[in-house]
Amino acid sequence: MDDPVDMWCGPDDLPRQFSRRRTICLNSVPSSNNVHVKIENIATKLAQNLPPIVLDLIEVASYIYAGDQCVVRGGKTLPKDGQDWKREFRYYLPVRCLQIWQDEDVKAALVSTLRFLSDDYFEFDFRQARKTAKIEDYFDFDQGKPWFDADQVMLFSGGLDSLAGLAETVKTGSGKIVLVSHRPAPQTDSLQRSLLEDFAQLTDSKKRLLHVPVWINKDADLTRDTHQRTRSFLYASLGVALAHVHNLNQAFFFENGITSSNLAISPSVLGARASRTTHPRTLKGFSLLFSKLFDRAFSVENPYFWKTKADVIRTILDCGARELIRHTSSCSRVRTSDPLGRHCGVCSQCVGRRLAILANSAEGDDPEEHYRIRLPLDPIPKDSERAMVELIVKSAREFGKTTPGDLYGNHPEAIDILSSLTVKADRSAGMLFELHQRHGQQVCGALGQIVASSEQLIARGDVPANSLLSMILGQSPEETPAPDERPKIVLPEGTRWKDITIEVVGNDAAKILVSDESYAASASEMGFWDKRKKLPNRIWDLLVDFAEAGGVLHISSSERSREWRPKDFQRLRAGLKTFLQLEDDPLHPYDPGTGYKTRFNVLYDRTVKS
Amino acid sequence: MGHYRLDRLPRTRRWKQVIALLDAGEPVEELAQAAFRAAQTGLSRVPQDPGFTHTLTVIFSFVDALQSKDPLADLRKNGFDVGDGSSLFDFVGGFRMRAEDAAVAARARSDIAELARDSFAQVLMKSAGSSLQTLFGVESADARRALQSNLKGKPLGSTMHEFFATFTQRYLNYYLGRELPYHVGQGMSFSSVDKHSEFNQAFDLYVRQTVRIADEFTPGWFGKARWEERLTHKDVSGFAHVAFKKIGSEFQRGTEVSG
Repeated sequence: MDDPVDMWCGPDDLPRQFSRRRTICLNSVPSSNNVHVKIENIATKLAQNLPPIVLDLIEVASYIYAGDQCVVRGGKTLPKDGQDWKREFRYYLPVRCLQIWQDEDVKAALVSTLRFLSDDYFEFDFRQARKTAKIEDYFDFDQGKPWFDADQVMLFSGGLDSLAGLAETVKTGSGKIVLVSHRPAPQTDSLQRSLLEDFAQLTDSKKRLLHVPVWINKDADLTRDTHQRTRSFLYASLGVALAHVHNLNQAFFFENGITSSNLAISPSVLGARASRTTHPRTLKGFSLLFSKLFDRAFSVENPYFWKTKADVIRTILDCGARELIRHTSSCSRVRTSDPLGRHCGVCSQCVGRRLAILANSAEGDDPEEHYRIRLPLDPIPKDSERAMVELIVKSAREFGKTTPGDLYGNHPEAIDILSSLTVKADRSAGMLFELHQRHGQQVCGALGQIVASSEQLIARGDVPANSLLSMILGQSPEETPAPDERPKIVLPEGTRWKDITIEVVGNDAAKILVSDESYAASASEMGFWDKRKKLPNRIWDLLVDFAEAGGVLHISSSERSREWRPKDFQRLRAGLKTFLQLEDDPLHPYDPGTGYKTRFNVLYDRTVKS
Repeated sequence: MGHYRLDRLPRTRRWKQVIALLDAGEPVEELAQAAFRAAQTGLSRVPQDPGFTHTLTVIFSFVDALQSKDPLADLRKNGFDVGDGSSLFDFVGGFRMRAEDAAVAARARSDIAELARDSFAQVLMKSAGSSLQTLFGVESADARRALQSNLKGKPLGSTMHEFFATFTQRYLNYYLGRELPYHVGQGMSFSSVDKHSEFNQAFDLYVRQTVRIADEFTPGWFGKARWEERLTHKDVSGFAHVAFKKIGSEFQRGTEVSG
């Protein structure tokens, strides 16, 4: 962790005691602002109800959201054991209600909630605001808008979970709903707007819905970091602000419990490197903070915590909103998505979405052409994207098979969730276990369907390399000879590699000598055959190299990857073990001094003609 | 799914060797040894990490309170948020929250502290889980007794041995976990997602079997320190230093045996 970063906020000039070089100045008050706030679709009458503390909250949350992106976190190799991931901010903020913000309980709730959300340290120094923004600076009033008497405020992202929450609320109730959306980018705006229009038309609910889009962004040249771990604080603050002016005591996030819990998918993903956007502890922290700020009981709730993503899709289908699935957006790369506006297909959100769709057999409602990379058959060329897909699928498969001891042993962070839930820990622990187990089983079911529907492709040996299907199956056609090609070599019991001699006797033929027996085997029978070229593959060539060299390939560390790739040795090992059904390793461990050495004897018949 | 940040291995010579071994499909023992060599410098610095020593101090405070005549009162007195009806999850959650608070108060939060907190929680769940028939629906008194029985006398030695073994395993995975998903697929070290999972299990087992700290070491040190009332950060750091030295020797011995 480096020195604290000073964040000077508001329109006031930077005081002399601050270093210009080490201080970041943020200002949301026009006209010299670099943080931009615009809340649309609000009736003039509603704005008259806006207490100053609500405006303070919107500004504070906007500054924190903007500041979050102004300071870089540590490099990708986590130098200093990840210390640079955690940053330290000192915010200097002008507020209208100084006494409230200076309350120690308010500050403590703010600091601890943001710390959990972002992993960063925060300090706050509030001062009385002198020059403040006018209400119309932040609100685009719709003069013709009638007073909307809301019964509920919910946050609407335009994804599957918020659509399900909306559909279920509209279907099961009769109240009016304010839908608050944060629009960081124009692409999100049009998606949310058209989705809501379609929904209103489908359910004849236009009069019951008020969409309040909020634009909050900052000058592009301020961006140094894109993780945006504090975004949900801004989002919740906007929801709460709208709830407050409607005299309501709750705001709702709809997010499935797997995403809310967001248990680590890899042992290196610690703390908020797995985002905690709607983690129960985060929402509990928001509720505490907002209750203290407004001096009345206030809560931020997630009614979908006990649902999986597949359960959420089931809810949409049950509510009759199936046709809207295709209009929702889950992709986390909205800004960088391709010109056709497709989902990337490989970010964690896209993978979770696609598997949940498959688990519900709802592929018809989520067309493949909406994805740039279509799981499970498209190759995933980029290593980092393949790694992400692999980890998500792996962790889900493990959840499907897990025991309670394994879940809470391997993921102790799950224990931290329990104390923030309304159910007693002993009971909620069982429910949380069942939730993750169900999610795992739903994903496994989806993967089973993928394999079943790809039967012919698999039989033909046409599984695309680097696809999700290939990572599930674990075989490539080149590596796996058909069963009828396998030789029937039965080795005497107790045979070790040292008892075996392999003699290369032809361009694609070898003799296997064990005890007094000799077996002929072709490169194809041994599994070292390239089906496409109809020739021995490079693993056979490696075996021949070993044979010519008498069983030792003197390859130094520096040159080892030039002629033969390390994975070639691995494939040779795997191929020989499979061919002769021996568990032991046919090669000695690589030694930088010796190189690679076989445990079996290997000979080369010098009469072989190339 | 939420968002995840995936990191990469440091670009040091030793970690590059680990990647080469991984590419070559070397056996798990070779990889564990190489990963340990690559991580050894960092591991040797762990006892100096303030977050780690604060966590270890909270661990001993938890152990100490559970050994007292009125464990609940002592736990509460030491800042653990537990009560009469606390379940096993409340006790372990109470430990985790107290450890986090200690690190926050000292401005010593770190990945190392988090690994230590996770390791001890894992050991508590495992050891209590072996004593109890189930993790759910356990009476508070039974949960407390299960924890107490593993945190005194000889069992304390086994628990702390498990803690150091689990920490070492988590520390190595903290690094190796960044690389393994890049080696899954056709012609790679792990042909499938399941093979990756199998490797993880074999790796964890090997590390835990390799890390051997004499079971008498912790109870002896803890009993003496408790008697002399010197469970300070400096003493705890010294204890951790000796423990990691022993772990290093065990891995060295593992290298010699496999070589």
